[in-house]
Amino acid sequence: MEVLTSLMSGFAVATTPLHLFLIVLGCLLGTLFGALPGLGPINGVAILLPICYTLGLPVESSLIMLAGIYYGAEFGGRISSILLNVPGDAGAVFTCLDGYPMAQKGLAGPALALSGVASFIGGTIAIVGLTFFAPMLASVAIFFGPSEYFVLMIFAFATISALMGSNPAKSLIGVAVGLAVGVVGVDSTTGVLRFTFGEAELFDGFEFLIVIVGFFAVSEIMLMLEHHSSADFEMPKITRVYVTVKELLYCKWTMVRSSIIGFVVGVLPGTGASIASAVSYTIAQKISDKEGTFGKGDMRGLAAPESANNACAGGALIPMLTLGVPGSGTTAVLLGALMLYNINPGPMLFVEQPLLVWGLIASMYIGNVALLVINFPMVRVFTKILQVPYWLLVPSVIVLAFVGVYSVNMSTFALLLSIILGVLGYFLRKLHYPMAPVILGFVLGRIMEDNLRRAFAMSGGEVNIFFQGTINWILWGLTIFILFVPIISKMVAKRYALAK
Amino acid sequence: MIDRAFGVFLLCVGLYMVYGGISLEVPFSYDPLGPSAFPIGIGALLALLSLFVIAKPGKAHFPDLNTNLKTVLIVVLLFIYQLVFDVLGFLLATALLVFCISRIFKGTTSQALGSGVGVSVVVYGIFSFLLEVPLPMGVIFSKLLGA
Repeated sequence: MEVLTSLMSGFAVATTPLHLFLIVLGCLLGTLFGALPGLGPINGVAILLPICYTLGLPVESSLIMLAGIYYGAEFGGRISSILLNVPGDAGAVFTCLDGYPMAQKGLAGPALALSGVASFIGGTIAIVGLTFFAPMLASVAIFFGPSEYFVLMIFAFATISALMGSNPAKSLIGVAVGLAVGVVGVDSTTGVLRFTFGEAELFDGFEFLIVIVGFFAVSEIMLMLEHHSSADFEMPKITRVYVTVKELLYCKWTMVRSSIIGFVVGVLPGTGASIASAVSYTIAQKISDKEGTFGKGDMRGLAAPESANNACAGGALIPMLTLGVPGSGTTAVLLGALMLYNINPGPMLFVEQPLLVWGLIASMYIGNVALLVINFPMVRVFTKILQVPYWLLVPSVIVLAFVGVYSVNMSTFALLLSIILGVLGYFLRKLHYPMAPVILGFVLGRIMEDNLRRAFAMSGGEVNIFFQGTINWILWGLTIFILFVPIISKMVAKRYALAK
Repeated sequence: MIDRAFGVFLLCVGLYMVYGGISLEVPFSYDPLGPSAFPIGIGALLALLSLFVIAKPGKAHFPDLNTNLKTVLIVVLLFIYQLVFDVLGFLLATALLVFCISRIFKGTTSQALGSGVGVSVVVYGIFSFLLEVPLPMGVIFSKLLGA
């Protein structure tokens, strides 16, 4: 079993004292960011990435910690959803539906415990899937040439526009905006300056940290003005923080099913936790809701989205690690982090950096267990922390983000750029442009253009290179299929409505 | 309305990208496509898609005037912060910024003062001593220390 040997070597990397410490630290920080109302995984990673980078850690250590923050935040997002009915991000919205009613019935403790176990099961199933599917996909991915890459990204963007948000045009505009921001800077092959407005600091393009801090920290605090600080909410009493075996068995099929759904949704490029939890909740409701208890505090309704969004986090890493195409907004940020370290994501990652990849995968096994262990005794601490008033939380967030950007760039011009991007991000978000496509477009822009131009160089300017070979045809087929999904699902829904 | 206006903005950005892409001066290119094709394509896509938004804008939910003014105030504060960052130094500039934002988020004067001093000192300590990132001292502090 080659996979198991590789995994063992990964565990050797992940179990060094430093890495064990970083896993626990990442999980703790992630849970914290997930638990804070208004902040989700992507904000957590965006704010802490510059700091991680200035720490001067080696790339595998940084990645292990950042990934810990990512799935830790998916884990922690449930706390404010259940207790306050305030989802940390879009992926946690469905957790509120049954989690908050449970808390109101005096079952806040069991709800937290059950969702913790559901998150653990979702996360673990996804990592097992990641362990076995990622190498398989990576072995296919080495046959990808420039034209296949380009078509793959077309497929990724088609998936985004078909599945994300209510308005496909706005999702695609998001992609275009991200690609446009990525175009700025010197062209690597010809040395021509593009859209730099004579600013020397723009010659290298918008630096990645500036963009994510602008989009996910500056715009976030502008949006927070409209939220209510959780200090204004009444916190429900927390009684027993454990679940009984009977309660777990009651939800077992829901959890397994939702984990698999979450994993598959995560693997699809560009679709994140929000879709995973929505799909799994809807399916759980269709299958299990015989008495109409969903939405009124049904345990299965809580277990479904929680196992799904944690499974999604694991699944989303597969396309990122094997193809270099992130499966969600947060993995797009992780991918950008890899590029900061001059590591080219793509199919060669598994071959060139086996210790990095397997160390990361092994660290996630450890991290999931750590999260489960940390969460039971510390749930009360986290509920205290999420009561941090906004007058302290908001300025701290912005200062941390700014110092991070400043310390990497050593210039206030970087701060100015992130403020400008923050204002742009504010309008995009207020007008319901989904942000995951923007960040995906930005991260993938350069790679996409390089592959497009390389493909044309290979073919001598002929377009037909994009229609040669089995992989290209499969990708085009998938692209067309995914574009029809919304139409098909509408037709099915109509049938369903008529049948009723 | 704002959705439509923003659509027009995106349309302009798209058209500007097409224009900028066409007017790029490329002395020599090794590949048949060159550096202008991609921006032209993206710009055209952006312009085309923004027409959909302009034609059929969605409903935007912006908060009341009071909150909007606060949002503008925050942006202005951030702009001022990056302007005075080098002159006032990290500690003073950050303390002032945190104080103001804290007040905007309904902290009392003493709470805001406390967070202003606390946040700037703690962050300065972490970055200067733990991470060894040099943050600007500012003109005033440097003169006080005689440096």
